[in-house]
Amino acid sequence: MLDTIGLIMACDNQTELGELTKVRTACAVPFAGRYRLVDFVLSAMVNSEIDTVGLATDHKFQSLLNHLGNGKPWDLARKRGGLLIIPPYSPEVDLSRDARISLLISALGYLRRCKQNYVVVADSNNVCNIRFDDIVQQHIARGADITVVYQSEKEKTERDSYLDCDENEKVVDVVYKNDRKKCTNRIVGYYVFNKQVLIDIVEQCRLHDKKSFIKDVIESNIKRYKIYGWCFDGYLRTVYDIDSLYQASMDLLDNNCRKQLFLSEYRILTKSKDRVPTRYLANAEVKCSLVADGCVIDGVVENSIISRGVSVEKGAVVKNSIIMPDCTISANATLSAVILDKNCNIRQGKTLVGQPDFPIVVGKHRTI
Amino acid sequence: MRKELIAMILAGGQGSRLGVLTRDVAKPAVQFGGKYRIIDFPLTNCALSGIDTVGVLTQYKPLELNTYIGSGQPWDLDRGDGGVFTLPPYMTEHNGQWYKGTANAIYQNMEFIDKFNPTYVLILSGDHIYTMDYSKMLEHHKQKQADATIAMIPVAMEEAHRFGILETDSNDRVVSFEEKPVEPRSNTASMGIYIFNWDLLKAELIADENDLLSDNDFGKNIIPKMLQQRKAVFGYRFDGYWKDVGTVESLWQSNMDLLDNDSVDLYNEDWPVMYKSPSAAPHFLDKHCKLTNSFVTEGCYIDGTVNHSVIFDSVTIEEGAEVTDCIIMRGARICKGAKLSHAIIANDCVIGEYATVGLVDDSTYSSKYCTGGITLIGAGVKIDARCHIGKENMVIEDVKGGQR
Repeated sequence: MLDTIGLIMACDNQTELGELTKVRTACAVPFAGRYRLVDFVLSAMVNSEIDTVGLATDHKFQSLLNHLGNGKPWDLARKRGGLLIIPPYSPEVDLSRDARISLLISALGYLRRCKQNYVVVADSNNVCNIRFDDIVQQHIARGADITVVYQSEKEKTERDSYLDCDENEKVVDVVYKNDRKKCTNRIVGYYVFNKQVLIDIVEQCRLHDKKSFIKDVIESNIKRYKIYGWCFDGYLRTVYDIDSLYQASMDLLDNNCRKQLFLSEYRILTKSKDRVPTRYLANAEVKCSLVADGCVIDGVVENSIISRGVSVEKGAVVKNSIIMPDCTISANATLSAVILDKNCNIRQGKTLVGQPDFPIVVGKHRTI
Repeated sequence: MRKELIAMILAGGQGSRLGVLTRDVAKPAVQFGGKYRIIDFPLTNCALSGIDTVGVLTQYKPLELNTYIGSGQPWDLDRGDGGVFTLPPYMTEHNGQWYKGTANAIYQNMEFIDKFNPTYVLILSGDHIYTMDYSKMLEHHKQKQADATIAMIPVAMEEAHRFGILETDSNDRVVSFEEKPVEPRSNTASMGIYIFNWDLLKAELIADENDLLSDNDFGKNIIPKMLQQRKAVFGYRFDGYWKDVGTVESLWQSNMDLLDNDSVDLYNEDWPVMYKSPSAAPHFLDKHCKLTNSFVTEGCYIDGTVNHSVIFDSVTIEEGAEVTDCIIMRGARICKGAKLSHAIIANDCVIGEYATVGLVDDSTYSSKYCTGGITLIGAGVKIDARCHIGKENMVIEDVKGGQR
């Protein structure tokens, strides 16, 4: 994979996570107890032996940058290559434009400077354990200019774009939600480009003030370039909103899904906090839950994700919930279908009940 | 640049009383408390005490220890000026030899120490569990204008014969020191932590090396000789948790101390014990899980019953298995229906279905290393289904079904 670089697009325009993205960009949202969403794509790059990774971001990136540091947890603190953060090119945000186009324009310098010939361009809001090296090899073997990763779904949803391919997987059309065409190959947000092709397309987008990534980078180039699809058949879930974040989290309680994500020989890497092991006290009753390190549990926990440094006191009950790092659930409090952002404090005896299809979200540092 | 204080950690010991746990690794690399290794404690103490140059003297089976320490990054000891160095014995143009004793190990590395030209040298051993701010000890050393300072702690009188025993005057000046005395004169023990003025220590080490009758040991030779010469040797009182985990029983006990809140404070935010993280997913507790009074860490899958135990990373405990008062180390698998009590299960062991460990009285694998009711299963050992391993046994090879 020496001839491939990575480019991660860390922007928010495809996600609506409300309270959770008030202070941070979507890919910095904590996930699965000890990770942040960006860890999945970053680990995939590293696991695919891509050791030069640019990460373009546009705003609210403070917690993202704190998390990434110099890239050491992903072995990306390198003299040659490594992690390169690409901050916004200009302070003016063109809201009419798909943020991904702006990020690609910011990344033009990085793309030109790298000598490699292929680029994996990736969204940062997917939860999966994928290898890009197979896709790049296939891309080269087919003589493709662009390869678009898709996932076969049962039905079309409102927000996604779909890929219509011929029998050789060559892309013939992009299908949107309102189109009549029946097509369920959902574009997941991972692409391989011949680098020069990407540079040319992005230049065109800049010159002609193009606004949409899927339309102007992919769809309008179907005739000009050789674009192929590539089907990913493993576990993959895209986090767009609270609902999909909640679903992706509940997926983690499934043994098969967890196996695909975390028990592969390709690890999902993250910044370690050197936390103490989690301590279970005399009254702990925990079932079907994923629990990170540094917690103290003396209450009842079921079907939940408990992140690093959470404390669940005696008599407290947590069910069907996602508790982000360093929250305290005090004695006799009850939570059901709740997403608590970091550092929340639920006082003694308080009760919060949401519904699995409509979880209650509590923002950072709140006390209830 | 001249360093005020550098640390030298003696990590070459085998720790033979830990039995099969130190068959393949040096004692400082032995795992502790779910995520740590013993060496993490002195390394963390150094880093948090502001010591940025640390030599780790290795000799016995150093591979795993060297790999673990690596660049020193987990302890913020990957420095441009200083950092952590592993120092094995080496050959010179004339000869070369193993480290003969603790003092000889430092003697052989005088050149290393001189490179940093320190005013003081801190000598530590790599096999104790404790958290301590060495900068306070240095302050004490300077304030007393000492030539040498020995950290000391009260121990139980009946244990005193295992330690170096000190007597001090009202000013904390050491008046007598005896290594492992048959009849201890006090219960104040040396913790094996010394600060020396480097110029003075260097002279002492050279003199000691020339003394052919010497054992080249700090406790037996260097300290008594300095007292003889009426050098200013002071004691520094320490009253925190300090445990020598030299035996299977004390290793088990010190892990249990963690569960009983009678140990080092791992939750102190100002003194987080640092380690090299294995980086696995959070642990998952499945629907039959009953888990109380225990430590569990990343990568584990637990569907059985666990009480009062320390579970290291990536351990699997299946449905119906019962684990009580145990230490289960990295990657071990406890199969369905197995029952374990008062056992240490080393890395990657497999305890077969309905097998038991530490429940029955049986001496097939009895061992002098296993006392206090503790049973030890060595790394990678497979115990077949329905086999029963007796109390105070030490198993170092696979146990096939039908044998017992």
